[in-house]
Amino acid sequence: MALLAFNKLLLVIGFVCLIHAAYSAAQHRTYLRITEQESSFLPFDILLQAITSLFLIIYSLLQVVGDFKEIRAAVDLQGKSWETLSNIPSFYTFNHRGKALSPLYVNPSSGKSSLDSED
Amino acid sequence: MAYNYEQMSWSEVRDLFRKWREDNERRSDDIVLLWKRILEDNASKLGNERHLVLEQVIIAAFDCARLDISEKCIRELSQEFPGSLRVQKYKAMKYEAMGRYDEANDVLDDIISKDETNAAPRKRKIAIFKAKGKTCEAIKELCEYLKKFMSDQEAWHELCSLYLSENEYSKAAFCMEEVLLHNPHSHLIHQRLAEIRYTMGGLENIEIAKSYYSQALKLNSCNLRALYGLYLCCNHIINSKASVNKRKEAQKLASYVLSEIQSKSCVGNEKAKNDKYIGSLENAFGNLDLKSN
Amino acid sequence: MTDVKISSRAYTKIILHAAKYPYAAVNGLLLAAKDKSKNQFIVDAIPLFHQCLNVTPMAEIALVQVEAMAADEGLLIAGYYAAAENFNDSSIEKIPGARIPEKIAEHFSNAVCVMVDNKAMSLNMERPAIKAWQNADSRWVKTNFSVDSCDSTLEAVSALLQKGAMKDINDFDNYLDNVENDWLNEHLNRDLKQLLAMY
Repeated sequence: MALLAFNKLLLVIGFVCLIHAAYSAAQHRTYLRITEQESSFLPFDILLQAITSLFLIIYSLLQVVGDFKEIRAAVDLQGKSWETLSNIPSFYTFNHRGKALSPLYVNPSSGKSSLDSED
Repeated sequence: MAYNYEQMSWSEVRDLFRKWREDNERRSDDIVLLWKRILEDNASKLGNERHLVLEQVIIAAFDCARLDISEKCIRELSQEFPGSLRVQKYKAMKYEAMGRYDEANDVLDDIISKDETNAAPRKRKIAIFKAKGKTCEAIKELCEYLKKFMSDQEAWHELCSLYLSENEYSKAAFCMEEVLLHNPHSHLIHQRLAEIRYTMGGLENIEIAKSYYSQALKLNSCNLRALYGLYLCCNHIINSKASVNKRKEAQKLASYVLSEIQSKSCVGNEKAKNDKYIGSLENAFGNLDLKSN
Repeated sequence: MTDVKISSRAYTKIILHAAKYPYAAVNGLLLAAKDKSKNQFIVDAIPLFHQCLNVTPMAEIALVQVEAMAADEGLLIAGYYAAAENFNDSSIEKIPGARIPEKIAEHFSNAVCVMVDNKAMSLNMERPAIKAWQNADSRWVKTNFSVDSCDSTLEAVSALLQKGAMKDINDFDNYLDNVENDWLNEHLNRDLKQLLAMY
């Protein structure tokens, strides 16, 4: 849990950092326009900040959202057994021994209710 | 898996129910027991999941012939959703569980006339034939159903089981192939197809069974049934009139598979005994080997 | 025609197996002592399958392994038991997996076939919930049978059912799903009093 909270914190920091980088870039562009300088490149520190925060976001997001699914399709099915695969609820029938095993069952041959002797 | 039912909290039971729903397990008696003991009094805490749980309990209660419980749950649902066709279906199932099949059919026909695209009541009608023991009618009806709902793999699966119970193996194999198209990565479907082919007999079918078993093992190397089945297939090929090369190859594969089986069964305390019984396979089928050469 | 006698151990296993999977057809094998006495005595039952009884590969494997196990204990495969899925079916014509008893009858002339009588199976059994047939001239003829110390067995098995003992019986299908499940069910091989004390 503590690790998850830490990763969430990292994610928030990452986003804040990225937004800050974007804001700095915008600031830089306005400064250039005001001073009428010609330059198409961003300063190195803003670039570095943007890229680092991007990687921080990627990493912490992967940690937060959960485990990866196996890429091989067969692995998911390996744990399954016939027990659950052949179990099709929409075709259940209820005319089976379960009826007789219910405590409410009245044995037709004896005529005596099985409830009588319960408990 | 032994759960200590007495000491479970309601949230643990909720998670367990969810797991059983997702894994599609038929643990009706456990569901009824846990519902009665723990969850019924806490049903209001379940939130949106409550309706799903109620449905689960209704079916489980039918399965255990506890109509008193299912009745109660159906009443709760129909109060919340008056006129819902889904709830109507449970009423039909109630008649079905009571053995009043004609009334159940009436309710189902009513649902179908209101919503023709609804697959569930049609499936129930097939289940009623099955419950009556009329497998042939169930097969006929299911074939009709599959003409309309061709991509329903559960229905194909069910048709396969019905054909198997009538010993119609080639038709069953066809249905399983249809299911396989939906799940090409399921080792269980491959394994079942191999079993059907093997049961049909004849060298050609055994060869097909061998390939299906091999594919099943490729998808899951721990499938013990596929290992045993592959061993049987190989032995059949060894003792058949197949070409010498094929027989030699099968011989090699058989001895490899047997050693695999032995290493897989080495867990648990029954090791020595199991080993011996598996060894008996070699004797039983190995003897055939001697006779044919 | 000889009378068939069924031990309480065999009866317990048959009923517990049928009760573990109430919604499915189940089958298994019956073992008898090797000596050729006049009356047949079914000593033990081995629960086999519940998932699909109509395909043969695993049944072949089970037959070979059970035969080896029986030979070890001086027993032989003398019969077959099954329970149908449908509540109303308890006649020999509706027996699931009919190929196996035919095969057994080829090797053992007086083979016994037992069907669980679904309707008589309850939490309070007053009569044995099974029916028995015996092979005579490659036909199945209904036969008389008796369960060893009948009343106390029925009472004990009913008590076991009420306590949920059926959950602990393992059949061959369970073994194939997970090798740790022991299809020999050695925990059921004690006498009934000890069994009752376990639950």
